[in-house]
Amino acid sequence: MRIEEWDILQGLLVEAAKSSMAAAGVDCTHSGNVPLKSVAWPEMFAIIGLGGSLHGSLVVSLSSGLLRRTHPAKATGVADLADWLAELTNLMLGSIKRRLLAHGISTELSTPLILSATTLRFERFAGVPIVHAFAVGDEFFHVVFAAVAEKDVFLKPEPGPTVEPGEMVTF
Amino acid sequence: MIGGGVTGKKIVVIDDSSTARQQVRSALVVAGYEVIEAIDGIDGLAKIQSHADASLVVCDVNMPNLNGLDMLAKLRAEQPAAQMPIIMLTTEAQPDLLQRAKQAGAKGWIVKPFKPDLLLAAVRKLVGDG
Repeated sequence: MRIEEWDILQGLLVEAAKSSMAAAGVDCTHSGNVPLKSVAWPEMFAIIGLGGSLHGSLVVSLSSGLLRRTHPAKATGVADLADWLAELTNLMLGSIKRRLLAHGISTELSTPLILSATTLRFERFAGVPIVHAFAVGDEFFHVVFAAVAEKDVFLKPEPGPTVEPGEMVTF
Repeated sequence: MIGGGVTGKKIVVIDDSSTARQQVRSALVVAGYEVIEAIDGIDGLAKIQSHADASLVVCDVNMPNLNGLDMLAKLRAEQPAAQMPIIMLTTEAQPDLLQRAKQAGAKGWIVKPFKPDLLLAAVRKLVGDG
């Protein structure tokens, strides 16, 4: 993929993250990209894999405070927050995947892995990791997307139709 | 509470996320439906078998152990008497997956995040409550 296509893809990720948080009742603003090493990772993060002609990983990390704020039932237990982070990550990547599909790229998702660590350091990604920071009031959360594209993959510049969230397709 | 909730009807909800199951439960219980939860496709098949009087199934697609579409195919093959309508509720929107669901006999496909009132309206219509 060309650089401009990767830029479109990163834009799709930002839209997907914002819309997923909005669906959870939280408005956030994109603060831009930050260096991977500069992020102070909170204690819990989700990793979900993307497969197919575009393959890589999405990492989503929210503080426990933000997870509690956004939890649909306002749960506070660690297991509930971990499950919510997994579901939120699933929603986010599903949103990215839908947007990619509209631009002509089909992908597959793994099921999310939730990790908890007191100190985290990422050692290696497939592709160059882009770290997006989002502000929710005076708190931040981060979304990392790293992927490689096969040789003949390209992103159509204009999106086609797709099934919108919340819509029901009746058979 | 009398079995089947106020409406007398049971809905089986299959999703590996407890949060997602809770969201669907909240949307349906308020309308008087009893919700039976399952954590993946294998548990879903077992719950459908033990609640053969369920009126409808709401099922995720991407789940560990047995995904929703494979579960649907197994259900039709192994429990032919289980003819309750099935709605897929998932983040997926790929046309080939929708086609698989249609061919396996699902009645509808909703992309997450869902709107509770839309899900409830779809359930009511499919179970004959409106």
